[in-house]
Amino acid sequence: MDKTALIASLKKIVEPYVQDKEAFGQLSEETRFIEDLKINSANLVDIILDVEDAFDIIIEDEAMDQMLTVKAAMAIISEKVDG
Amino acid sequence: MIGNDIVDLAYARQMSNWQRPRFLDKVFSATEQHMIKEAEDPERWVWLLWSIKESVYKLIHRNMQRSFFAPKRIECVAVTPTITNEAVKFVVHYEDQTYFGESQLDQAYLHSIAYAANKNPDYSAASFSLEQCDYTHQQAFIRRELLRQYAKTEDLAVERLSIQKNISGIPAIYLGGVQQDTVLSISHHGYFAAYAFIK
Repeated sequence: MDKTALIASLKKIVEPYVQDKEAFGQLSEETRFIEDLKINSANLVDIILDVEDAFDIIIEDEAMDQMLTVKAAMAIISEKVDG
Repeated sequence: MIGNDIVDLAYARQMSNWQRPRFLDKVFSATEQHMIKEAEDPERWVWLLWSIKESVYKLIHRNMQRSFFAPKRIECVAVTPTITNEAVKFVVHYEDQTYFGESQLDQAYLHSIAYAANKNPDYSAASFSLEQCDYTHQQAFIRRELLRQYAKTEDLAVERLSIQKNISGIPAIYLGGVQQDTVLSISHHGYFAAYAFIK
């Protein structure tokens, strides 16, 4: 899956939960959901569920464990979608 | 070691829909889901268990110096006496470790404090209601309150104290430029904030 397209769809999923809009404006692969975007940890569950729905994948608990950054989320989605 | 977590119940209702499909499955073990489903007030149980698990996560995070997201594996196995009380004690399992703690249960918020031994350490904790819920306000407010209390406990000038987070996101108190050993935990959610530190 194209990286630019992937990051764009991920941004769309994450945006409603972001509390630091400025950090969101500077989003990169290194951005951390909780520390940088100030997303509530309960909303991290929503992001995971939204990602599952959007890409029609299932994220197992082991993969979820690391889903704390844009980079990790992209890696998990790519692996599931591209196989 | 200590960890604490506060949940603003009205804010949680506004920000999260715990009834959406698969939400409970992602967060709670079978035992925990049973506690929730059997309850008279399942929503209160959802957020009580959430705050308990988060408080334990913060303690483990501080210990490991590494972030992870495994709400289901941090399993609450007991809450006593019952959720209708103003305070409860809890027991949590994570891997081969057992953690303990206590929660204050208010109509508007739930505040959980976790520790590593079955005897509560000598700690200072407090919770506050806030006028605004943006994170800059939350963060400034709770840091100020914690430092005020810490200064009083340690008999120090509050102007010389500050709180900084390390690269893993773990907060520490600094006196002048020198990091102190104090183990502390900060939490904010919606219109509530809380801290706990070991004296």
